[in-house]
Parts: sequence; structure tokens; C-alpha cells
Amino acid sequence: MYELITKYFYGEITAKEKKQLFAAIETDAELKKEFLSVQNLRALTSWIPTEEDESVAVGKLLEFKQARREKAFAIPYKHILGYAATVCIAVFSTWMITSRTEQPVVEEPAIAYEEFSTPSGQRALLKLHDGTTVWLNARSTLRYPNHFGKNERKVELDGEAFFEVKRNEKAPFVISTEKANIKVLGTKFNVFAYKGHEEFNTSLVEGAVKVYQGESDADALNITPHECVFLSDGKLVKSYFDNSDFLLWKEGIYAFDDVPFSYIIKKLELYYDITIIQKNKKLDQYRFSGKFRQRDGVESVLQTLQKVYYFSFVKDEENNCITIR
Amino acid sequence: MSKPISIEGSIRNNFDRIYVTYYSRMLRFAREYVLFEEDAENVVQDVFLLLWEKREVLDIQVSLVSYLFSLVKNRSLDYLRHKVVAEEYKQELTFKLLALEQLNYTLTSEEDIEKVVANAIDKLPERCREIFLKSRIEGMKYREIADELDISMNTVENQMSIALKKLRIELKDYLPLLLFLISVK
Repeated sequence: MYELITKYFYGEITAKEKKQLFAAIETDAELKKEFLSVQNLRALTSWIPTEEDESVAVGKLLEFKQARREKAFAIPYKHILGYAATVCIAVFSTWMITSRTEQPVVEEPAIAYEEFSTPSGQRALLKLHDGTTVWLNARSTLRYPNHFGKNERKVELDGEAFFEVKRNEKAPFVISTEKANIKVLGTKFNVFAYKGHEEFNTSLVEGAVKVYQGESDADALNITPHECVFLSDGKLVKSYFDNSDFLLWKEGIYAFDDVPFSYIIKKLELYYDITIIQKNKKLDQYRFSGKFRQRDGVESVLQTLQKVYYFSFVKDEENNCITIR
Repeated sequence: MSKPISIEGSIRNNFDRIYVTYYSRMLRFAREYVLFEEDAENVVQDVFLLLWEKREVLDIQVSLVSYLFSLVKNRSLDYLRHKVVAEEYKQELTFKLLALEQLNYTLTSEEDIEKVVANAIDKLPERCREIFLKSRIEGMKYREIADELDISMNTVENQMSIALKKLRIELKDYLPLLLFLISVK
């Protein structure tokens, strides 16, 4: 009977065994005590936090807030309810959300902007109301209107994102970043454009996109799948890629393919919001390839790299800084 | 990972943080007693709705965890008591209700439940603790634990039963004792 209790709590019990167990509990006080104790022990241990807890909760919090907000709008602004943000957001591992809505004007539904940011070391999936999905990498911000215009769908990006743009021939989708703009009708592609970071690139997986600087797309570079555009001396240059592993960040994996140590360090600093001081000159001669789980954190990446070429590192928690020697 | 939450001021300023920190744990807790996932979610939703509506005025005198614990416990109790269920679940729910009624952690408890449980788990022997955490916190099946640690199923079962026994002693203040005096109906 006691093993049936285990089976019951692991959801592996059959209907027949369950009946048998419950009947026995009714008559056997010791067994009942065991059952109730295990039950309550399980409930008490529910309060120990797990790694995934917060990621699940962020999505739920957004739903919760969304429901409250729509209710608040329902009375005074009934006619604009249709425009009330209908963005459904699923978040995997973040909770510092900045979701600001500027108050709409009563007479005429003005465009209000929403902003979504991911903190360091985490990523998020956003679904915009036109059906476009956007994966946001660590420390990225997407600013988007609460409803898209008829002729254009415009968003602003600071950071790295993977877009799967819902096709709409009449309303091109435009992503503006600090360094360049990207115009598409409907495709899948990655954009790397952190503000204040010298690197910019966009890589196309499916469809076609135009990349240009400034307002006009007259001199835009058109790219096709497996082509990419990057910034070189302030100018956009076309290239191509055959290894798509760098897109694995969507699945929470940072992949590096034959890159210098300094490149990895730069990415780690960016994604995990940490300063890394590299004092081991020898390491700069080597190139590295490897895949790392985002959630394992920056120290785990360094520990793995240590196994390839030995170096030591110290973390200074106070100054959020790692020194490599 | 989770920072201690101070609730000085009002719930209002900390609502998001409280939600994100405790939502999953409260759901896990409710799930233990409420039979269906959807109902468990409703129980937790109701608790946060209450917090939200009273966020301006609520003044919590006990620890936040104790407060949330009581809310989710009481809401689950309400659910179990009022749920008119099909005959097939009646017996199961009766046991759940009985268990929850006897869960002695209440609003007046001064200790923080998370710390109490964590301390109890910390006192387990190392191997035992490792297996218990894999099973209970990471949700691994006995078979998977046995494979991962390269030990027999028997060992896993034994270690788990040792863990449960020891935890039961450590947490005896919160668990039912005088069961044989209470009958179900």
C-alpha cells in the first residue's frame, strides 16, 4: 500500500489502484497518516523556489495586468477598447518589464507606444497583434505602437531580436535601429543592433529584406536567404553565412563558431551586463568554438573555456566585474 | 536568485515583484490540494486579485510569505469545501481537505515557511538530499534519478523514504499528529 502512495503522488497510479488505496486509507489509520503527511510535506516543499519559477510568472503577470488594464479602460474609453493593447506576450526568463502606455486621447485614438525590455542573461518571446513574433535576446528593448497604421508597421529595436514577420503586402514592416533600418513584407530574420555597440548585422533566414541607412530606402541593400548585412566603417556591406548556429540564442544557447577569445568576451559582457578585464594575452592567439546554455551564466562559460586553454578568473561581486589572468 | 522582499510601504509598489517571486510556488501549493490545474490557477488568481484590489490599503503585520501562505491555503480550503463534485472525486477531495485542514502553518507562525523547509532539507544527509531535491524540486522520476546517478531504483526508493521520514520529524510542528483520533466522515 505504501508504494501506492508514492505512485499516487507521482501521477503514475491507475484508476483501479487508486480505488484500492483510498479504500485502504479509510480503514487503516496508519496509512491515512502516511498519506496526509506525504501530502502536506509535498505542499510545504512547494515553497522552495525553482529555477523556472520566475519565467513562468512573468507571462502570467502580464496577462493579469492586461486584464486589469482592459477593465479600467472599458468604462471611460469604450470606443477605443479595440485599440487597447492586444499584445500577448510570453516570456521565458525575465521579469523586469517596462510596459508603459501613454494615455490615449479621448476624442481620437492616438497611437500609444509600448516598450518591452529583457534584462541581462535572459530572453523573451513577444507576439505582436499583427501576428508577428519577436524573440528578444538579453538586454534588448522593443518599442512598438499599440496598433499598427494601415500603410506601415513600425517598431524600434535596441538590442538583438529574431523576427518572424506576418506577411502583409499593404503594410511593410519597418524596424528602425540606431545604425540602420530594415524594411520587409513578411520573412524570418535576425537583427543585432545594440545601442552604443559598434557591431550591427542582420541575417536573413527566409524571404527578402531591405536594409538601409536614413529615411529613404532608395539605396537599400536587398538580401536573400543566407545573406547578411553588416556595418563596416559606417557603411552597410553584404555578405553571406552558412552556419546558422548563432540563431540558437532563441533556444537559450549561445553558440560560437571559430571566433577569437576577445569576441566571446565582448558578447558575454553584452549579454550578461558585466565587465570582463582580460589580462591574459596568450588567450588572444586562440580561436574557440562551442555552445553554452544562457541560463548557466557567464561563470559557467568561462569554466568551460578554462578546460580548453588554462586561465584563471576572479569575480568581484561588488563591482560586477571579472578579471581573467 | 530571489531577493528578499521588504514590504515596507504598500503592496502597490511591490505588486509585480511579489507576483513574479511567489506565483509559481503558490500554484504548486494549490495544485497539491485542488484536483484540476485550471482550478489551481483560479485559486492563485483569486489571491492576487484580492491583493491587487486592496493594494492601496493593505497593511501586513506578519511576514509576507506567511500572509501569502494563509491566503492560498484559505482559498484552497474554500474551494475544497464548496466544490460540489462528482461522486468519483469525493473521496479524494475529502482526503485533500483533511490534509489541508491539518496543515498547521498559519498566519501566526513567525517563521518564514521557505526557510523552515529549506533548513529541514539542508539537514538531510548529502546523498539523500540530492535525491530528494531531484525528485521533488526538479520533478525527476525515480527511474531518471537512478539512471543519472547510476544507482539502483531500490537505492532511490530507500533514500526517498529516509528523506520523507527525516523531514517529517523536522517539520512535525506543521504536520498532522493526532490523526487516529479523527475520522473522515
